[in-house]
Amino acid sequence: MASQGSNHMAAVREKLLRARQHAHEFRIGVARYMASNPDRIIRQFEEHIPEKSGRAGLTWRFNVESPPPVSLGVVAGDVIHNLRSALDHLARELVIANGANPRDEGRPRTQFPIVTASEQQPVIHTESGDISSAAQVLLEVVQPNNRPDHPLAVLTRLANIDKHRTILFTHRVPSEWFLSRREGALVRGNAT
Amino acid sequence: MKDGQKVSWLLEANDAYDPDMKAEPDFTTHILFEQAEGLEGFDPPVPAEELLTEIVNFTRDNVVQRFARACLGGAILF
Repeated sequence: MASQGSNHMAAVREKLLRARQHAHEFRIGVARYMASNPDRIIRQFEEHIPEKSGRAGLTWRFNVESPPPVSLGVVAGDVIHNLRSALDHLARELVIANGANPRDEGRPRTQFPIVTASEQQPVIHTESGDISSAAQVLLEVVQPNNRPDHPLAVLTRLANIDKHRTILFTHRVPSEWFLSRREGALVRGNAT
Repeated sequence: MKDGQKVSWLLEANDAYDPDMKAEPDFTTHILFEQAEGLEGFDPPVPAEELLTEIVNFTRDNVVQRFARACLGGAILF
């Protein structure tokens, strides 16, 4: 039987809860940063505008006066780490649930496989025994399979970055912009 | 967006853009944020499929859509 018994996925739940807490902290950090008005849209006259075939005119530039704090990247790394860890705990539980033994020492250790190429087969390595066939199907269904925007593919990429350095942010990514004449040329937008 | 990035194309692509309107030389941007979610308590044990789905969905909603674009430069997503 397994060397260490499962507690009904409690460890997985705890890791996910920690990820939620850090995500909450991240949102608060972003809200505080954005409340400090760290950027401005500046209007200026330019003699030569390449986008307008060299004609003169008004241009608008996004000006960052205060870059995002490094702490945001650290907290984002905590979110990533706990999600990745939750998956690894889940893999361990799948092994134990089938009466097999996870591999805690040596390589490859028991961890949740994320394969980004569809021709690769996801495998959970064990000390002895295997996961159930139903669990294997579950593993295969959830894989990114050549989709770089799949959540697990993104998670893997960010987890690899977070291993070696703090996650850095560009200033923002606009997703919606519009002008409000009522508020006097105010630019509003949703952003991350 | 990066510091100094020209955004005139963003404005001119918008139907509400009026190049002749009067405006202050500078103005700040305002960002709309969703309300932060409350922390959830400890749930009873759940099957692996449900828990895995929860992890993937949480990653999609809180990592991919929240900050992955901002730290991966949009290269892999859009």
